[in-house]
Amino acid sequence: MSREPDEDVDLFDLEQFKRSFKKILQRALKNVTISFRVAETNAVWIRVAWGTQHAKPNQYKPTFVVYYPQTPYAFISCCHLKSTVPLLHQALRVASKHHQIVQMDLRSRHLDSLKAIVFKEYNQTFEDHNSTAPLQERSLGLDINMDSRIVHENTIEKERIRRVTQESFGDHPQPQLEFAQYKLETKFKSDLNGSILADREEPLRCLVKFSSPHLLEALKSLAPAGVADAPLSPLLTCIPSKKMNYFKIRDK
Amino acid sequence: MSVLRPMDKLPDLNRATVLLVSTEDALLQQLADAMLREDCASELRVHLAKSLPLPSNVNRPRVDLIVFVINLHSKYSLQNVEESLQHVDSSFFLGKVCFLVTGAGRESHCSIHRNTVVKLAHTYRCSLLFCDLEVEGFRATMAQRLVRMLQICAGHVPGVSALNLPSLLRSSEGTLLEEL
Repeated sequence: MSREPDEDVDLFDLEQFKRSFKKILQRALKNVTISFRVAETNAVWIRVAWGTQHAKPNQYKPTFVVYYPQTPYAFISCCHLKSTVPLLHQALRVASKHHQIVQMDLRSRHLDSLKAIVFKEYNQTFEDHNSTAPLQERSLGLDINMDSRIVHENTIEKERIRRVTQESFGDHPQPQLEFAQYKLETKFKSDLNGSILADREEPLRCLVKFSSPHLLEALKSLAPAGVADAPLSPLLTCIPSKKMNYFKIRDK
Repeated sequence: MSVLRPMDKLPDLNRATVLLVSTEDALLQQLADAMLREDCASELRVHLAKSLPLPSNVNRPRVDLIVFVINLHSKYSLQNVEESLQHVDSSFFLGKVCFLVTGAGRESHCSIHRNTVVKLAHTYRCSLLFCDLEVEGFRATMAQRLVRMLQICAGHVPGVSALNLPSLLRSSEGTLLEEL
């Protein structure tokens, strides 16, 4: 989630944030349990257990919020009660003294990866005196393993694919995402004239979902493995830079 | 100029060269290793290519056998092979080209129908071989077959020539298609 600050707030007062957050939630809902913890990495962890007017808060299905006070970002775990989400947003916004709160189209199971994408930390490669050596080892290793009776014909093409993949994804390990979803709402385009689908006035609705235990690494390995052409579609390669993995595509 | 021709170079003494063409480099590398492990009287050379045409500035020996490897899980590999076929001279198709299809074992992952490759092989009058290259045992057996085929195509087996190969390797499915 992100928000646009209205005024510059220089000092973060943790106690005041906690009081304000609690006040907003408890004013709206009587039965709610809120607890705070400050992590070493300068993050405020908030645990909220939701209850109703007649029921005690359900401690087994809490919602977690991780807020970084120096940044306009907060990370919220999946809330099983959809009705409480706007209230939670409002509490965060007011307690952190921001004007507006916007939900980003970025979801993942890994908080570290979300942080890496949002704070742009994923493309930091650690500089050390061995940084040039790995590249040399890689090409030498290929030569040693290869029998001299095997000849690779398309080394130029392979090199081009490696270069294009490196330009799109970089040398660093990719942040871990599980899904990429593309919702298409475009008119059907066809070469054939008079196709039934092309005559439709309303846009065609289609959902394409990519899933993987480590989606970005999988996409990065597609071209070198020979499963897809390089360069990959920019819709796939823009995920970390656009900080989105849920897209809506409409006709221009 | 960029078309591969079977007889445009002189053969080297006792050498047999096979060209494996596929988009999936890892499969080709494993198959090449398996082929080179075979005991063979001829001196083997394996050339791996992603697609044709091959780069023209390289000095390469005469190619005796071309094996196009298609993975049934990937439409991209079939498309690549179909485009590469245009860069092969028609005289190659007299027994010196064969199609090797992998991935038929995992039906749920197949995006190309078996009949598509059967028709492709029939159109070009070439042998069609099925093998799950990911399984070590099958790969070793297929490598053995390919080495024998390569020796025949290079002319190292007296009495058998490449022209005999399509009819020798014809399966019962192939005959059904020709009867139609």
